[in-house]
Amino acid sequence: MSRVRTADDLRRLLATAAAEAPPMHLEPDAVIAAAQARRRRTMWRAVGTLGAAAVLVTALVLGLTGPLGELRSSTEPASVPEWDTTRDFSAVVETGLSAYDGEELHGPVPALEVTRSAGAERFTVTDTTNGEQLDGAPAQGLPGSELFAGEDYAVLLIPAPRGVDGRSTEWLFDWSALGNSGVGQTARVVDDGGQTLLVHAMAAATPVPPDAVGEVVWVVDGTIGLASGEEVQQAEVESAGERLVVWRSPGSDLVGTFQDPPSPLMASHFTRYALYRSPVRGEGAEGQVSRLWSFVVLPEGAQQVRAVLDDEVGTVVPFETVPLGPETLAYRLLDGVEVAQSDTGVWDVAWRDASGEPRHLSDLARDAG
Amino acid sequence: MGGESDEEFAGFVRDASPRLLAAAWLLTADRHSAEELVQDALERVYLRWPRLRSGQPLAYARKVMTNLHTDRWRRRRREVLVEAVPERPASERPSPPGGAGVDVVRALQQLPPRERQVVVWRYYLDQSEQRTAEELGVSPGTVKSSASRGLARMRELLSEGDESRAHSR
Repeated sequence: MSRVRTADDLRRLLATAAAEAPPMHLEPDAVIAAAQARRRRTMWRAVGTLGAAAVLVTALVLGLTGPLGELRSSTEPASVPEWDTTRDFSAVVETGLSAYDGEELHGPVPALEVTRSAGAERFTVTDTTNGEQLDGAPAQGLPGSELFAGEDYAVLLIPAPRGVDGRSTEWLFDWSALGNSGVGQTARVVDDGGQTLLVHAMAAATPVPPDAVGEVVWVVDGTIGLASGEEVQQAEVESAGERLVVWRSPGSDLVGTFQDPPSPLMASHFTRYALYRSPVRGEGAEGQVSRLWSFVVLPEGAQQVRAVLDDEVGTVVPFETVPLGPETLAYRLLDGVEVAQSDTGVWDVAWRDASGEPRHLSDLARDAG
Repeated sequence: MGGESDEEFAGFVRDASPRLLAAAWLLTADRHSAEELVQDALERVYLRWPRLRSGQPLAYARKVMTNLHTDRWRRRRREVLVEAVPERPASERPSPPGGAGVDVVRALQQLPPRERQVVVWRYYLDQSEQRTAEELGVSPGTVKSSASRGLARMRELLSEGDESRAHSR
């Protein structure tokens, strides 16, 4: 006769089996150290980290998804303004930042006076509380930008185009150069009526090396720009009343998204064979997202793009396509209460190339080694 | 994070990990896989600790754990498909160590992964149908049917075990 006749029998047996499990142990410090290492590794992959899993069929039944509206695709040269050195510039900037000493945030960072006299080659940044000037150096790779080191914080000054919104700009520094010592950043826009200076501040326990400043991304009138001046390709898509700008910079090897202002930009290191995800603006973090953009950059001419699904969980929401520079952006909007779990339902992405031949993302990734 | 927040998280790990590890053991029947699964899940909890600390970090940890477990068996199944390597039948897998609970753990491994998760969530972790559905990312109806099938299958498997033992005596 079976030892399991009722649910309570099974409960009792499972409890016994768990009690007889081999000794297992996790050291909290080891978990924390591994998590911090994971954060450093994944910092450049910010866009797609919404975790895994399934989309409820209800979203499909309700027909909540599907592309609508006009599509726009363009390749925009980034506009990096030259600083007018014939004029004096002076501003006091409240960064709104708390400094970070490697253990905890403290602060706030003092108000900073930023000046540049007519004819001067460099900016000066002065701590208004003690009159001390911060050490500065040109930011490598960002023409006209300068990096300053304060006590437990760093300040990056970037000449920016007029109309730039401080809420929709992102400093993408080289996280690996900072270890775990950089946390949080703020952005302020200073416009003296003639010129615009973008002031990014970051809490950093160790100085940011000038060759690790990375990139700064901004939006002006819906167009993405990079402080490096690298070319940006972007496509605007719309689905179920939501709009999304997907942008890519081959030169900076970045990909990202932008939604209506004042939403923040999202940016990530570009991985060719990745399916990216970006939550619809205003929604929460992993596990709380109910609408999610999903996109992938495919070779030119890709058509009939679809996700290859697990047989048990997944979504049949089709991808739409639009040109993104010389390539194809395939995108879809997922919608449903379990959308945060959509990842595990997707095994692969399949499409037909310009000649009608079936292709798979996994094959490209494997061929690329 | 740092200082007080890390200490708080460390306390959470100490409190939550024994039961999570046991659940992972029931899911995987392998000590190292179980530790890896729980460690991975807790790392993700740590990264969101400032937001989770005042909410339900344990529920989040369980949800991440089941997603990771699902990912792993799917990856393994995919590798099997690609490499055309037949999955070893359960009878050829290494037996997990242990005493009277061994049969139960071995029987669990013969359930389909989703059914196994539901059984562990409902009957070991004692989660409600609704909570199980939320954490496993399936509908309450799927939980109900999986739990019912899982219970029936466990009854059958453990009955077979008893019979084979009786025959070998």
